[in-house]
Amino acid sequence: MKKAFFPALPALTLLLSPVSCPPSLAAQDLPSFFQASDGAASEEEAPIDRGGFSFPDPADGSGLVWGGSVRAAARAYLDRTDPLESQTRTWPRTRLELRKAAAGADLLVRLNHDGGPGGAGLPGENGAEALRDLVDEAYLRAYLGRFDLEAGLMKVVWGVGDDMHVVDVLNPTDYGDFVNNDYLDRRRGELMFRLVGRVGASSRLELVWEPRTSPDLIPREGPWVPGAARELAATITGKYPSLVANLTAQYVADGVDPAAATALAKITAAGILADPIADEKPSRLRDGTWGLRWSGSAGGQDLGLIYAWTFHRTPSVDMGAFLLDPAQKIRLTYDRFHLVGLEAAAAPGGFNLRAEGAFYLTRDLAGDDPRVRNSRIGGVLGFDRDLLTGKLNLNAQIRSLVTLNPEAIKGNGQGDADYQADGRYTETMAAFRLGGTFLRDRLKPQVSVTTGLERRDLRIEPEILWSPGDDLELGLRYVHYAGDRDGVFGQFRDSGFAEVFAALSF
Amino acid sequence: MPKRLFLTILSLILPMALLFPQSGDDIMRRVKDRETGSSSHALVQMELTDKKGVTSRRTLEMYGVKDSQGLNSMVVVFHEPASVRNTRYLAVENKGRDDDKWIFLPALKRVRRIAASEGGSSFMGSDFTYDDMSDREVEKDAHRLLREEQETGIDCFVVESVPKTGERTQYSRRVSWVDRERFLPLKIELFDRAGKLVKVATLEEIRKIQGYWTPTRTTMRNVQTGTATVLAMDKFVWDEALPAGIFTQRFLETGRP
Repeated sequence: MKKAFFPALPALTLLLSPVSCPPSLAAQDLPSFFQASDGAASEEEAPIDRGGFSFPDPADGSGLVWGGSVRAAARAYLDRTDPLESQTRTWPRTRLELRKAAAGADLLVRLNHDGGPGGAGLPGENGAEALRDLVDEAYLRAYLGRFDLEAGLMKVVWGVGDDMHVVDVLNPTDYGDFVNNDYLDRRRGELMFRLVGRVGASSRLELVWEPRTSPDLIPREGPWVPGAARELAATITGKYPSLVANLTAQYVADGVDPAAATALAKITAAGILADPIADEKPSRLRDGTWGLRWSGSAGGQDLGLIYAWTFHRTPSVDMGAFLLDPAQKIRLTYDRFHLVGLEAAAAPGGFNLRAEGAFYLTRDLAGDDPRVRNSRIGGVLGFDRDLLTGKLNLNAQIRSLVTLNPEAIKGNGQGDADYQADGRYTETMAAFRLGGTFLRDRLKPQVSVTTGLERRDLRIEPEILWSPGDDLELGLRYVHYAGDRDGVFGQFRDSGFAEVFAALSF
Repeated sequence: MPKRLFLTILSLILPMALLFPQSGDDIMRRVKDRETGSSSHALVQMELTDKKGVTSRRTLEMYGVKDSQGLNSMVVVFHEPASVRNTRYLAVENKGRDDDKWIFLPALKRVRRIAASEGGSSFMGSDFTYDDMSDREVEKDAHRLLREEQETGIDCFVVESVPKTGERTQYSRRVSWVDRERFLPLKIELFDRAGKLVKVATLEEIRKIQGYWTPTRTTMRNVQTGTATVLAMDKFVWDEALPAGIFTQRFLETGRP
């Protein structure tokens, strides 16, 4: 017999804390406070043997476990001058998770049908794209002793930050409604192979290979089109008159009747500008992403070191040739970079502290190549802390990205891939969230404020969640954007909305 | 005169020593050191009752183990309700510093370290807190034997435990009714930082499992809010050969040891 391992006071440990009973103390020796029972009877209540480590047997006998949620939402994009004129949208979202467990392996499939902005079912999608949007993740995980091997469409988060990261580079971002979704919801699954090995008692090593590095998904219509994409579209449209004029002059010079030349020029110009972009996605085998991460825990701290060889998933826009000759293509290019990063977390004095640091090394360390993005450094610092014995939680984070050698960019002017018209080459974002849990976790009010410090734009979101039942959640939130239109949030200052939703988990 | 005074004091002390043969520290040390299995594994039903009598249920699975240095590790896996399914919690006791605690939230798909002081937070919206689930070193409190009395017919030591200066805890003091034969706390009154009684934990059922007396039903009542939480064990097994991999962050992520 061993000494008690849950000695404890009070409560749940108490429940789990046995008291050894000398043989002389039979059940009948005990007052009625104790349930009369003998050891044999209790031992008959042996657990279900599922590999010796799990009681519940939720599988249906085939090893298949499933669950999910259904969510219905209605959103009104607020018209500030006449609220009754506000545009409304309603949509359902259905999620289904399937897990098939077998000896030494798991198959996991997560489906997500989102009819909302940026979700599946966008106009013009072909069947393959619609299916790709529907499948959030689908992968196989094999348990190979000290190693786990995963393969398939996956989302993997690197870094210890909350919602803000500088070392999480393994998945593309879906910018459709991206400022309004949870972090994982705005990431897209990527086909990858991931080997996780245990090193020692409390650390591990991960190796990731993505055969293809997918770009971010950027919407071209709807309320969440980024400002840069709008500007690009405006530039293309703005070239139409001059292109028509140039073509007309060319046709007239070739002897075409002026009226016919104009008509022909309009048709030709429309054809050219209908497809003006050459998207040079990294699609060759050598364009894959490689990542290596060591992470471990020691002395009350979590530490991690990261190396990745990947691409910026948001493209650089090269309009140099197009601006000179609209018949030339606008090039979307993706710069490769080495990422060297670190992460750390600790919890001293009731504060959950988190930090990430990263160095993005591109081919343009000197910063003078206008076609390649400059190298950057970035960092995340954050904490959260419980207040009022856990009734409230305050979370604060700040992330900063600094583009190196900005003077070289300014020297290159507008043609540089990093060029910023306002001359700012830092991007700092701070986020604060105060949330509470009341009435035994049934009522959860929260307010979030995220602000871009350089451009003084912000996003404010008060939200209240109410759970009348364990698996039913009703929510109401309002999202307001303000500030400089060049900012991450300010660009959506006309897209503030109120939303009501109901979600049922099963 | 001094001799008379000495004898007077001795005459007062001796009966008390006979009456209370052990100090509060001794009793609580015996509570901590009582013998039991080397590992535990439980399937637990949690029933929450609000002040209107409306109930809701949780299902969780718990694993506990003690390492060669006598330090405890515990894992909790949440099975129901669906909204928290596959949330997993790991607490590892350390000598001389705060416990390490991590939680895996499926919605974040990430293991997150949490502060030891967050132990004062409610556990799944119940009347238990995370600290209520964790071990507390005997040395962190000053223990005083108040009296002996019967609790539901069982002879008990009544011991008051007060955190020593500098020790942070959600409770200003605890009063435990400890079965004087088996050194099991049968009832504990918990007082908030203002010194008011806030909760009462009561063992309502104890069964003998694999030769060990095992509490199988515990109620925590919050006397200030009128709420209560019952923890009842559906299954329990001692000394199971639990894989060491359960008490790792990898298990939190994958659910596989």
